[in-house]
Amino acid sequence: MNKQLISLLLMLILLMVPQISSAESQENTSIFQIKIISPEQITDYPGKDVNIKISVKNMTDKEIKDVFTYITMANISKTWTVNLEDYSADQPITIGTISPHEEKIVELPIKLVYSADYYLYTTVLSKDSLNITSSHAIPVKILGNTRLVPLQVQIVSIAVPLLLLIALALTFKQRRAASA
Amino acid sequence: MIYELVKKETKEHIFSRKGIGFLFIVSILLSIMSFGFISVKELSLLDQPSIVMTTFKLLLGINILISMVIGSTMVAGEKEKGTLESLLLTPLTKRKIIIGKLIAILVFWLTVTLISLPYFIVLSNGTSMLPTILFYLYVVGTVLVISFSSIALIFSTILASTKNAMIVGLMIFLITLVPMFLSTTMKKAGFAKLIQSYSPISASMKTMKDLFINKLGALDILVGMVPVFVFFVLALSVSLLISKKVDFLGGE
Repeated sequence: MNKQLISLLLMLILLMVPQISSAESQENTSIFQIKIISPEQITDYPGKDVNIKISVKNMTDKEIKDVFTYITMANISKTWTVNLEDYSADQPITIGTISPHEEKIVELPIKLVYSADYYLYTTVLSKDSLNITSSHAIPVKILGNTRLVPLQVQIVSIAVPLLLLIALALTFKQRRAASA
Repeated sequence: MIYELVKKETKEHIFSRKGIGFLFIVSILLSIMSFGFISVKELSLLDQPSIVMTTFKLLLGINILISMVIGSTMVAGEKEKGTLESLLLTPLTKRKIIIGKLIAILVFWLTVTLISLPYFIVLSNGTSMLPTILFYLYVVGTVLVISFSSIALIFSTILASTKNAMIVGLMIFLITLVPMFLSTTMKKAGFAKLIQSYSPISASMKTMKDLFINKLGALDILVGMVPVFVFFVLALSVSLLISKKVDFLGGE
């Protein structure tokens, strides 16, 4: 009796497995393939403009309209996503229509700003589909080379306005003395 | 004689309460910004060339504005106070009067650069940027300040009131600033693209980046500076040509 029950349960499990994996594979089937062609990694100083060259391929047998792509960057040092407006990369690039199995090469510009370690990846989507595809990430290291001495900055920031304030007070005093 | 005029203008507009007040405001703004670079989390992540560039942008923006305010009051203010008559009675030609007023604005700018130098020295500490900073400050900065002051003087000469001269002059300055308020995409088309290509402010900002970050050669920098120099020659020439119009208000 026990053997029969175990066999029955095993059979049921075996029947369910292909269904689960088929559902999962359906969810993972992407209509696009997106790859970062270059660069493979970025290590540079702030202020530099970099172009991220990507390829977007339509993996379906149908034409896909209104396709656009954009950059996402995650700050690995601080574990947060980045507001790309500061990096002049907040606007997506419109690709338009991609024919079946056609591959398009696009360049996405980004300006390096704040020193930290990041992962950069690109995403492609179309208005016609809720299936969104992202590329693999590339490491981005924006180097910091600041040799500011906070004490020096503090001294100058206090001393200069203070001297001018004294000069201003003296002009007031002179004027008062002249009018008296 | 022109020396006397420069001395009078300098005393009246720069080494007066108003002038020292302006200098004090400039130093306060520079201090706030410098403090930000060492205390605000995001700003402290900037590298030194970007820090120097941000400080330059603030310094130039504020000083062009102040120089334009001073320039707008220089001729129209004399008309309003009724002191233009005595100035025109001196042996100075009208052109020399304008040159004298421009030299006074230049003295103001040079005073501002002296005040800003300690900030630039500490902000560029440990780098070899100081000679580049001095070049930008005294060449590009001076050319920009004189150009916009000339624009202010043109309107101060042709318009009867200081207020109107100031409004028109500042509007022209703001138009040249338009690309700074627009996104990267918007700058690529239409009117914004046109201003971006020919605005002396945009050209000076691009040159600043090429100089401090991209470290381009002298030829690229000079080519990038063409709109700045063209604007300088035009503004200065027109202000000297229009000096003939320096005259009393109607009815005087």
